[in-house]
Amino acid sequence: MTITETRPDDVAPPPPPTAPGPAGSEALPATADHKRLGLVFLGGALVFLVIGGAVGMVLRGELADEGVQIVGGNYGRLFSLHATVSSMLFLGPAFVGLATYVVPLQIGAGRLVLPRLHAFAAWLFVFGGALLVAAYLLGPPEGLGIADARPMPGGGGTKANALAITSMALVSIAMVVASVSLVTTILKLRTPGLTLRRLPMFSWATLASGVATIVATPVFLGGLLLLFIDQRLGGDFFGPDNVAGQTVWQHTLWLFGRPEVYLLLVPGLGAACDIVATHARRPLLGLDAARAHIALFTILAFGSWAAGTDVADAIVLPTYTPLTALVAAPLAVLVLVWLGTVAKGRPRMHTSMQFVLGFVALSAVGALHALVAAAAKVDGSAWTTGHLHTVAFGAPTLLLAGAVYHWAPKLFGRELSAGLGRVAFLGLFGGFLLLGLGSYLAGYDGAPAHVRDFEFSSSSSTYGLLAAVGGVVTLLGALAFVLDVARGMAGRRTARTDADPYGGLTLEWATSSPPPPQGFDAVPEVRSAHPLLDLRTSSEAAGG
Amino acid sequence: MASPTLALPSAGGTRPRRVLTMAVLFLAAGGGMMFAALLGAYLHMRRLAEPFPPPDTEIDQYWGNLMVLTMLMGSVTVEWARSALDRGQRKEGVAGFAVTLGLGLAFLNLMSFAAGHVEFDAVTHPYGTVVAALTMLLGLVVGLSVAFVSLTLFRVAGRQLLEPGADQPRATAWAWHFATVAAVAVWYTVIVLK
Repeated sequence: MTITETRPDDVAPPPPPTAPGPAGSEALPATADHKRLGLVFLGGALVFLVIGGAVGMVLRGELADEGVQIVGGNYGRLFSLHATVSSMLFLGPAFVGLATYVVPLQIGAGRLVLPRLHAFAAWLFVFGGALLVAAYLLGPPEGLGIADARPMPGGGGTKANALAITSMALVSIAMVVASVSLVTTILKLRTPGLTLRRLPMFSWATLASGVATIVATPVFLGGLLLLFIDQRLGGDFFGPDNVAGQTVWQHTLWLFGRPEVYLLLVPGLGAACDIVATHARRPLLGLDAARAHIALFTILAFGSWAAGTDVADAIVLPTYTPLTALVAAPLAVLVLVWLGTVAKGRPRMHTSMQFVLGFVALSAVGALHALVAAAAKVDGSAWTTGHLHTVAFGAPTLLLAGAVYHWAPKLFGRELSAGLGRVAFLGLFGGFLLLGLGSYLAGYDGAPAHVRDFEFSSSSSTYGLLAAVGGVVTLLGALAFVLDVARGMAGRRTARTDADPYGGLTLEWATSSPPPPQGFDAVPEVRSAHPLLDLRTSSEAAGG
Repeated sequence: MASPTLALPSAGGTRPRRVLTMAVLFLAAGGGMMFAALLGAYLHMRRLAEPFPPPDTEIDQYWGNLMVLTMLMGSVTVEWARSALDRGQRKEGVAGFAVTLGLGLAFLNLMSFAAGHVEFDAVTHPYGTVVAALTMLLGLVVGLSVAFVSLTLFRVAGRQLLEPGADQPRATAWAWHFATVAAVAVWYTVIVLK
């Protein structure tokens, strides 16, 4: 049987219509190459992770025991910096960066459909993120952080406030523009035969989270515009006596912040599906079910906005109301899909698989504590800190790291270090686990959340220390991960490895590692959700 | 099972259709959510912040009506320009986009004039803050649409975008229509409903 056909000589391939010049050869600030733009997003996000993580560790030190004084009166300012930088500048942009690099390869396009628009978004994110950190250096934009349900009262804002509002708006605009670019790329540039039902899971998840970002983020921008006018003109829209204004802020922040907590996980879930299928060496069991449940998870994430007044003060804090608990159902189905796929396949314990396993374990710990919390009243306690670091931040961070290790041959032209990967996994998984457990237990013991000084009981003191140790271990794991990625980025220009070191299923493994500037020399024809497996099966059949 | 073959045209080889139109529609969806948030805030304050609007507020209905009519006329002329290009009538297309550009500039001029003559400020009452936010956002959206119309006008005048069904004129028309819908929504909420 003939399995290949040669390109007819008389049909010259037309150049990509919107690719501006030879991709990858121009200076970084002028580049429109999706691969380099992806690394700009990813690199920027990792820098902000280190900043947010370092500040978080200092805060953990402050809470390690009663009477410990490290940051003095700056606790609130640093807490706001830690929460805002970690939630706005790390996970979301990092996944956007990964999607910017990987999705055009997964859909067989090898380029973005609007590369200049995407470049604008990438640099706007870097600029806006730097401004946000600068705002905290300039002064204390108290109450403006995304972690706080109460906006800064009007009546004359400081320069730090104006800078913080502007920078959050710039980062939000960057995320919306990048999402528009990614969603349009997925919908318009899929190679022939790659229907939406055949879309690789990471691309599918990027599509879902992109649409959700386009819908949810502008609501937050509306709130920021009101806040900016109120601050600059000295109005009292958000004044402490204006209950209606306070509610407006809560809802504009909620419609972004509440789903955002869960939406940060969506691209990671898609990546985990691709990781499991690739390293189990078989297509995902129940592919359509997995696809449906990622979409359902995205839709249900918006339900958490309507969780009611019980969570009035909890913008980015996970809570245990029934509406927010519903998101666990599709997550559970996805875990079953992964377990079934591994059971039916021939799993290989790649570093990325360790991160997926860690995600499942960390999520299980979070689910267990959510059940306990439903029985024991832990409102406003350190329990929320534990749940935030375990489920909302820790678990997706593990998936992000797993995804980077999985796609490292494409990103960096070589696999990342297995040794450093193990250190990163143990640090991130163990650290988040310890940090979470310490905070959960302190919460059950009655310790309040986000309070600098309080009266420790003897057990709270132990739990605080446990969480502080967890913070240090997490930061060490994060540094190992960042170091490994930095080494990968540094050696990217010269590194070359096999196009398909894992026997992958989807199109990104059909091109060289790292991919050529044009993305592909030839794209395999797509007749199922796993075109490379089809190609191998046909080759084997043809070879007898 | 289907027998796969090495494919020939890579996805970059064919020009995807209506890319800009789709991007504009997604951006409009995001912009629509931002307007919805601000209009929701307005209606929320209207219900809770009595008296609303404050008694000394005076917004001339005449200017508001004129601004909405200007945008609606622009929607007609931008469609005229787009359909003229689809029929291969470049001169009519240029004329249509030029008139739309003029109407957009007239809208911005009217908005600037009206903003200087309204009897409220953003400091004394939440009404002022939310109306100022709506006005600023509307001005920004119309300003971006005017810039988009200008770009398309220059390209058409320079004998580009002349193939029937070209993407950019269509995207420009959608951007303008979105600005018009936003202007009507703001006008209805602030001027009619009060």
